Amino acid sequence: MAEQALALVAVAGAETEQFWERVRLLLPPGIRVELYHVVDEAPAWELGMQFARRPGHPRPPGLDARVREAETRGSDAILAGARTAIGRSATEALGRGRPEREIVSRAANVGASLVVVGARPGEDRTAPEPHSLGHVSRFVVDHAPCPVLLVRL
Amino acid sequence: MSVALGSTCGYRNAMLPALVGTVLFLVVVAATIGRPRGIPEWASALAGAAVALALGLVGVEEAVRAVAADWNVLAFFVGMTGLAAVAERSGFFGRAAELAERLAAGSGRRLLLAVLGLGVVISAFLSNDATALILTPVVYGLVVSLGIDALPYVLACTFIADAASLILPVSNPVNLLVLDGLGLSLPRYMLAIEPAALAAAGLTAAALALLFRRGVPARIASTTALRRAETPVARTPRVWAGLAVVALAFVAGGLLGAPLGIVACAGFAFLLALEASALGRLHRRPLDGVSWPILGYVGGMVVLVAVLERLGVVERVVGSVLGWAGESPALAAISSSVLAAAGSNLVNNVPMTLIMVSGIEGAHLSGPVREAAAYGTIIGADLGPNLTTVGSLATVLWLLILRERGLEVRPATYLRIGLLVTPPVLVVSTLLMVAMLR
Repeated sequence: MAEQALALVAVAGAETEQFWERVRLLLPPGIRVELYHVVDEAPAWELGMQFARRPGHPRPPGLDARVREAETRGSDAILAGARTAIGRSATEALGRGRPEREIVSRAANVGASLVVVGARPGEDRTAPEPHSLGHVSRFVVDHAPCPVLLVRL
Repeated sequence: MSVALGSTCGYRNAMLPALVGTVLFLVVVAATIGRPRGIPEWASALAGAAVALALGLVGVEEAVRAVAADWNVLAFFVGMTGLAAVAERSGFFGRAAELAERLAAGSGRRLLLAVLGLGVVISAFLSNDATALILTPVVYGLVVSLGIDALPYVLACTFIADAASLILPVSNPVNLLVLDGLGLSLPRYMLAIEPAALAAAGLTAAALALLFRRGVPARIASTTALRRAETPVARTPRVWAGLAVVALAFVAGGLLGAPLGIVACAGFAFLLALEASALGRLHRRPLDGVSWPILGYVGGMVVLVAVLERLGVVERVVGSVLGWAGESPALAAISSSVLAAAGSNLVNNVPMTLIMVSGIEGAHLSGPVREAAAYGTIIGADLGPNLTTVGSLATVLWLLILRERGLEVRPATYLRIGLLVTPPVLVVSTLLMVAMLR
């Protein structure tokens, strides 16, 4: 049996029902699907910097565990939501780091034939707007090693 | 041998000791910021003070007197960090974040505004450190579990922490350092600074809301709001009521000119008692959460700044800037605000404030000019750290080294926001304060 083509669907948590409707419509039936979520390390890093910039206030011992726990809860919820919404069998993967870079390198590593990313909705949700590509989607469009499907959120 | 440096050179030929003292100060500051080999900042500061004493750059008696003069601030640190820890144990911050979520009613933008409002209130009454160090992780936990980008919310907390720290004398330990150090009246401070304080908080909140309006989701999608039950926190509502009493005591203490270090320690004891009455026993480790290291850090820095003062270094730096301002309170306010803000970004705001206080003290200024310079210092040292949210340029350099070691950091976001928001807020606040002084 020939290797099946793979579509990498990047999920960030802001996806709407409309987004999933369009994804279900547009993904070819035969393609394998991987739902990929990246935990952005920037906010947690910024949080840690608050202790670095305030001498005399040590990082409380349980903080890192609490941060990880919240991140796991969030990414579990996001992947679970995506699993239900996509309405077909899909594998799941979780990354950490800068989402835009992780998505691009994941696409290269798994040999994806297609990357699906969301584009922000306009104010009135009917027409595209300037800046409707966030910095993550923008980077993926510019650097992905394969075709990119932009789906409005 | 150890006393040779100080005693032979003394004040008359102070070139060499002044150089040694300055280098020592800068090395210690670099160590407290960079923390080489994980040496904690309090250890570097105390080691620096010990070296200064051993070299005879400052006498033991003088050092003790300098530290003792700041007893109120040291007591304040103990009381306030203890208070905030009891508040956290009582589930106060988690409850506050839930309230913010409820006020947001499914809108990411309203959630941002609610977080900013929460940050203002917590900074005002529990100090900026409580917002930056306790509220931020709680907000991060909330937002991440909602499945939305947490960066705008985390940055909102960290920026508003310092922006709202002019509101009361207790909103930032630096305020007490200046007010105590120069023997200024708390009630007068509150009257003179309040418009500037509210403007700083309001303008920063508005700027952040504007900058992040595209970065936060208009609606928090319901498909991803699958929140699991949070790990249960012991909820002791009577501590929350106690917090309201302590907040009132801070306002009253400020208006009556009471030593706020004592008010904070009494408030801490009061909350511990309330907690004990709710639990049926005293908390197993009641002093958990008190930042003891801060005492070593501030104590060490006080001694090192006393060295700089004794050797005439402070006079040369601060005195020349204030000398330029002459007899004009407005110019004194502006120049000390700019100097304090810039210095806070170089050496951190606690040592910079100590330097400014010592410089203003030694400059023999007339009453109004002295007061203007003091308030200018408070504004600069409170708001200045927001210029580079990491607090000092040295930290940025340190981050660049980390990046070379393969740790990915992105200073661009916060530098851009800090450089964009902070200078106008600093200018507006300083001018409002000057206007109030007239």
